[in-house]
Amino acid sequence: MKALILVGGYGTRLRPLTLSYPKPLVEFCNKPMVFHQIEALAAVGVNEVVLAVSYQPQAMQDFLESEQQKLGIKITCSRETEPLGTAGPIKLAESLLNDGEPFFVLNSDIVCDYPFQKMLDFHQMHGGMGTILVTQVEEPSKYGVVLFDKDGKIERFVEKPPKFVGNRINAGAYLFNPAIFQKLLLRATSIEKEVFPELAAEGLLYAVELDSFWADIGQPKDYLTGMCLYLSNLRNKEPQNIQYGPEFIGNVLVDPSAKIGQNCRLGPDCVIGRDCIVEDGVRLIRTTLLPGTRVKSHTWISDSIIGWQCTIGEWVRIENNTVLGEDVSVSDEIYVNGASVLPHKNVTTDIPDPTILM
Amino acid sequence: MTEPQTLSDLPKTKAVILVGGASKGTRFRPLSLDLPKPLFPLGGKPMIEHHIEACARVPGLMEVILLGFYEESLFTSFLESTSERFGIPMRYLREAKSLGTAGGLSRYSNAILSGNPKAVFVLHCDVGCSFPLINLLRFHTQKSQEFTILGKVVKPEEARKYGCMVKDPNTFELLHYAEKPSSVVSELINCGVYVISPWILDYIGQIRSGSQSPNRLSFYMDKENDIIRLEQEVIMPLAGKGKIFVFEMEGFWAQVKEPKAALRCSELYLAYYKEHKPELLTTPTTSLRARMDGLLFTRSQKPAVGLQETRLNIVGAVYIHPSAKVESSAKIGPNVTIAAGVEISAGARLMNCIILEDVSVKEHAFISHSIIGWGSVVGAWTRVQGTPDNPTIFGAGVATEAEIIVRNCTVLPHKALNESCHQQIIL
Repeated sequence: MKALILVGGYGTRLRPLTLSYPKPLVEFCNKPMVFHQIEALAAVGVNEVVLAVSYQPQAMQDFLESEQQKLGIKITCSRETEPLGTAGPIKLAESLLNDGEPFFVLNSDIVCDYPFQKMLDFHQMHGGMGTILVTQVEEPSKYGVVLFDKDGKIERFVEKPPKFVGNRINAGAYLFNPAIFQKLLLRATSIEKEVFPELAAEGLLYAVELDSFWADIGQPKDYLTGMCLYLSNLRNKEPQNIQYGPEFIGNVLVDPSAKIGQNCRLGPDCVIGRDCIVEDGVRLIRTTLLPGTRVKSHTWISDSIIGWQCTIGEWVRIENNTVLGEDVSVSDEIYVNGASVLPHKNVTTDIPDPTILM
Repeated sequence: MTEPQTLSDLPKTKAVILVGGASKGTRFRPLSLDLPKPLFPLGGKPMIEHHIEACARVPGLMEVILLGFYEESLFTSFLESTSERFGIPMRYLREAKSLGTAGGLSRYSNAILSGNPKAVFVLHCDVGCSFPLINLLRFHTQKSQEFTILGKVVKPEEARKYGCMVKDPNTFELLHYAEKPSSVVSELINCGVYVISPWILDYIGQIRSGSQSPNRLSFYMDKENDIIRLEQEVIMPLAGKGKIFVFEMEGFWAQVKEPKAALRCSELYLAYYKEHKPELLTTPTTSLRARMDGLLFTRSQKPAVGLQETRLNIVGAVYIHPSAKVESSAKIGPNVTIAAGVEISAGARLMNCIILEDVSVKEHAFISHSIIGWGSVVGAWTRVQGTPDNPTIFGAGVATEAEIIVRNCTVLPHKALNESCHQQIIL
């Protein structure tokens, strides 16, 4: 079975992190974003994953070559040379995806507890052309709302409805029959606005509900929200991977290679990456430390993403959705509030108000 | 400026251009995200090509060395083509990490002094000027012989941003040096161009080993840190001791730390060409052949078809690469440089801007006080404007919708702008 992951281009919404690495390789809860999806696909029997990209940096190519063996699944790239929207890339990858079987298509920014087997079973039962995963959200007007009958047959889509029409939205995971290739064009087309409405009108699409958590982590603020949901889910599914001890509060994920000092209070909802060093007396709340970062003593960090190989001084306070790019250093005793700091910067004076530091 | 009578009295020399490295160039973002700052074009040529051209004109100059901690591969093709064009050996020496403005000189002193040059030019990459190197060298051999600094008098409020120098009016000796002082010291500033005698490299080596360290901050005593700053740790201690002399230049000088300085410096180069080398600029009646002969560029491009004898609408000092396609109804200038492969559509208006390679400017667009990055697209009727102190900067691959205004913004590479924006950094 095959799958396509719509990766896209430069991942600019996740800057400054994506200035250092392509988005699929940015770690989320200690695993590259795209790995979460590939592992879930492999678990349900997918043997080849195609990444639809519009820009393919050398870093991604090298990384994928080395990781294919580890994951035990074939990974190829389908690269668009002109903009194809959200549907065109599927057509572009037809020769790679079409083996006569249904295939998955995933949006790369989504993290959730994918119910792929449930989707496969339901898809076989209803016999339609496509199955779309839907999820219930609190603010449907930010997304594409899906309206379907009691059997799951989709009646219509409403993109960002100004008034309440329903609270199930397109969760960004699909299962299609190869017959869909006939319905797609090799040019810039929107799957949400052009393809799906047409198929729904012909009664060919069905919706299946996602029971677990769901998050779009394409921007730093949502990344942190998604992190909390993921960790909560992890505590239920794999409690052995959560840290326990006097210094841990709530759900905290720590890579085995990380070193933690004395008298820290970490959590709730923290992720500490590979080779990180957290010195004595550090307080972390709702924060991700990406690999290789050192946080010195007595520092307090909340609601932030600290990039790879950063060095945070002593008695530093960082808060309010701060994102530090790769190799940023923050001097001792500095206050950083809501800053977005590009790679290789040295922060030597307070940043008291949200700003971008280039 | 009088022509020197004999140039054969000038000694054998070498030149070292300090190019720095990626993590040092952050003030030049977002432009430095896609191209190392030393290669950014000013007045139509890469920043350090101006330095190299000036060096190549000095008789007896044996070799030009680029010294920095960028990846070597970033300079390979530039070095090859420039070395061939100016007929002078060139190479890149890479510091494993930043060693400060002097550390690399000492570390590589053997390579720099091979061939026994009597004097070494040391030039910071991020300055733009007329580079009066022959006169500087003549002054060095006659008056100084030890360490010569190129200086220039600037406005008092400007001087405090640089290294300020006090010189003896008769002997030209450097009596006092203050780096970026907070109070008024002098209007004579350090231009970042030096001529040094070989023993200075030994002196720096002694600083490294700790036997000469009057100005070393305890921070730098850390074993891990080999950073040696030329200005603070070599020049300042030697000031007033009969070793350092100052040669004052006329002509223009500018430092380029941020993108807005690149615009100003490019304007200075264009003004300099207008006065001294008008054949390098593009005029309404410049024929295609003359334009191609007049200025060699790092990229070779085929000339645009159908543009041979079209009269261009040009105001003031403008440089347009021969391969750029410019509609005659577009009005260009003053102070505009247009790089290779650019397309300027009908009715566009460009003033005070730098347009980098392969940019496409659609019909009736307006661009002022801006730098438009490689491969960007400016939509029809779109207005991209900045101010001299706060220009609009597009990184590589920025695309704008038609009919919007982008004012005083800095846009990172590969963003698509779908609506108007003012006064912001767009990540």
